[in-house]
Amino acid sequence: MLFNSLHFLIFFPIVYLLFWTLGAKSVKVQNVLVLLASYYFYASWDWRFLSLLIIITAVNYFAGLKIEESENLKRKKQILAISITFNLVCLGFFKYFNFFISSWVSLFNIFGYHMDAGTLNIILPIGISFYTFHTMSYTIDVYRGMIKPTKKILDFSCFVAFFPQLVAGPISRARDVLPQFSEARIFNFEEAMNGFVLIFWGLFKKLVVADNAGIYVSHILRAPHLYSSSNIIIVIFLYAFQIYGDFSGYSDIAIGASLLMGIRLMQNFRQPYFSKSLSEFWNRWHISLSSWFYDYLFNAIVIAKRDWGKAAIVFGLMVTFLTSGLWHGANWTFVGWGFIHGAGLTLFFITAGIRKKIGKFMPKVVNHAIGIAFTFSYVCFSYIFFRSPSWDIIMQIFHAIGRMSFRPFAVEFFTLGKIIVYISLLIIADIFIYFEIHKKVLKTVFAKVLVIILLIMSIVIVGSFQGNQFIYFNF
Amino acid sequence: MKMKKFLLIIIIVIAGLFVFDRLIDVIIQKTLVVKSKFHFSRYVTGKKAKDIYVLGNSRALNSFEEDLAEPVFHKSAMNMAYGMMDMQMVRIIALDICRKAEKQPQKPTIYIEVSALFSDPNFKGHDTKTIAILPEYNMYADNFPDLKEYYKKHTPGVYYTNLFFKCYKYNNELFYRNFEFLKKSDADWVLDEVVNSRLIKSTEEMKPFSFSLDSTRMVYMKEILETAKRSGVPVNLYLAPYMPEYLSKIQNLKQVTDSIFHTTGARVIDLSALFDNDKCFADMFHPNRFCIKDLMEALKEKSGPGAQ
Repeated sequence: MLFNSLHFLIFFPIVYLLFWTLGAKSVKVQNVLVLLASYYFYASWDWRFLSLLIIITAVNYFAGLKIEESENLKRKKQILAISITFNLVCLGFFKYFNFFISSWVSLFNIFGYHMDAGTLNIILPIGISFYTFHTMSYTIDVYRGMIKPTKKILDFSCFVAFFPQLVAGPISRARDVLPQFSEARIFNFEEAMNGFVLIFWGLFKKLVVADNAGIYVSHILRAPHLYSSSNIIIVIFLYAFQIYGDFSGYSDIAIGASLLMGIRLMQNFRQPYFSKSLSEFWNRWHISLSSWFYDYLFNAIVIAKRDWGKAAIVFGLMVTFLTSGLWHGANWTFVGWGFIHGAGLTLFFITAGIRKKIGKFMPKVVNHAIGIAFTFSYVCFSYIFFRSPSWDIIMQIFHAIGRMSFRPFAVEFFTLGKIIVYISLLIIADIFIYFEIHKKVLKTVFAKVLVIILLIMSIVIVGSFQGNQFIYFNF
Repeated sequence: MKMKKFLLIIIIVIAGLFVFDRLIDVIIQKTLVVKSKFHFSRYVTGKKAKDIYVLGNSRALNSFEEDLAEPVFHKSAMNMAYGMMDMQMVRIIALDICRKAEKQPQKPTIYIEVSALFSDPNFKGHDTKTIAILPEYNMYADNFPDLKEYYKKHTPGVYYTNLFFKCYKYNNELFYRNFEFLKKSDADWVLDEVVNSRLIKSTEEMKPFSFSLDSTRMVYMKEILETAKRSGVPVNLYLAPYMPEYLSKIQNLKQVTDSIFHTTGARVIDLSALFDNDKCFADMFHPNRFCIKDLMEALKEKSGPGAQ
């Protein structure tokens, strides 16, 4: 069930009305409704994987309790290791089994050993990368003593399966979200209005910006060797806004739908393309994932290797981003993307002092503009690896760019022009949000209603209704 | 209490949408559709019927220029063709022309470029059969009863969304074309480019191939011809020129045009070999501006009595 589908348009209002009518006075009824709705939502993708979701929930629930019960640190560690291993095995089997098998076969073939290993016809359970990360953060936080495990399996199941965030995040922390399922949600008009605006803003980003840009991105990157350098470069910039509109749009809808049900999820994007450095970019892009990796992987590495000094940070960055690349998909192109970001951050880290000194000789505005332009260009460069399904396509893209041919765009200027207009609207809105002007603009209920109507009308007239899936569903 | 207020807001949003939607629709109709020189808009807003209508895909669109045709035919003309136009849409427009013609003493003539009937093995992705006529023509659903009926039958989602949102009909390429043709004229469809040597060379290297006729499209064609006959509207089928190198690779053009004749009873005016100069083409199958006048004259000369 896609957020941008008729199915969801019927499903969500029903759940919403039941939630605030039947569940108005009882937290238990609210949670039962949330859980049933979430399982229905998940089963609508593929009911067979509902059992996997339930098993992962149960294992982590009991692991949390057992960690708390154990007084022996070694025992706690063992239980944590078991639960993490279980999560990773589930993730590894469904997402990476075929990838590793075929990679091993390729590796052996390179050295002249001809292996013939079969792969399995494994279907990737949607959202598995997200909900295994939810549950792992819970057990790790319980182990670290940052939260108390919940005894209520209903609350915990709601936290894991909560439908707005189930299949593509944001990857919430148990310490932020779980307590919200233990308290009765009381209807808050302000939050409901904000949630309402966010849902349509998210749909606008997805249907108007991302999906319209996506038509041309897919068209040209299907066979990049046929197009000129200028076409390829323009399309990579378009892709930057496609993926931003797509994923941040999804996050806005998820956060908005959650707010309507009285649950506050963490912000996932904060105008990432206004970042002045790569490290700032990662504080603004897919915040829930980058902070997850920061908390549970990078920090752990840096602490474990603290004797190494600065090398520990470099090592931590590389491991974190290579893992993050692999998290995005079972393909070496994603590992390449992770490497580019790891290497870029390392370079930023090593040259921090020099950059600061150079920056002092420049006016602040110029320094910031250069930073934004450089960071955006570098991120776009990394998208070549992120977007390409194979290394062949990556090579074709570089080859096409290297030709330095500057023919006009492959589609009519008018067609490209309309996409540029939609992207400009997104950038203008981001400027408003960056400088917090939107808070003044959206102060009154009337303004919010007007914005909602304008967003819906824009979607109706210029939105793409081809039923495109959200890009991050593949991860 | 707050919940009630929120529900009231939702009702206000729905009511606001209803009002805004109708308002925007009226504004677009008055400020864009009426003023645009895009041919579909001219067709639905024009008060006076034309003497000649041209239908088909991009080969029809680029092979018939109204401004040049009118002095040659001594009649008013409108090229209603569109890139990748499906035979289903050709049928819908043709039936509409026939329906309107029944009330007119002066019957128009319809020219149909027949390559919309073929499947070209070299352009499977561009095969008009694979291009759904939706939602591209939705903008004019209110103007063509058969189109509306088609949506109701085959894509109820589009049909019912149209009922709620009047502005949904603008969600297609044709809406943007209306903007584009505020300044441009339909004469601008005709191409200025001359085919490049690389394309000529790659065409020469192509393997010979055959067209295939699609039976469903032939059924539409038969229906058009029968309805037109009942309405007293003459229909001329023609085949626009192909670049000589491309034409030489087509193995069964004669069989295909003969087959159209045997199935429908209408003879195809074959202009496929009209030009032996590559400079008359923008690419393999689209004539360009430089020879279009000769094409108009040849079409007039070989046309049936309807064109006289």
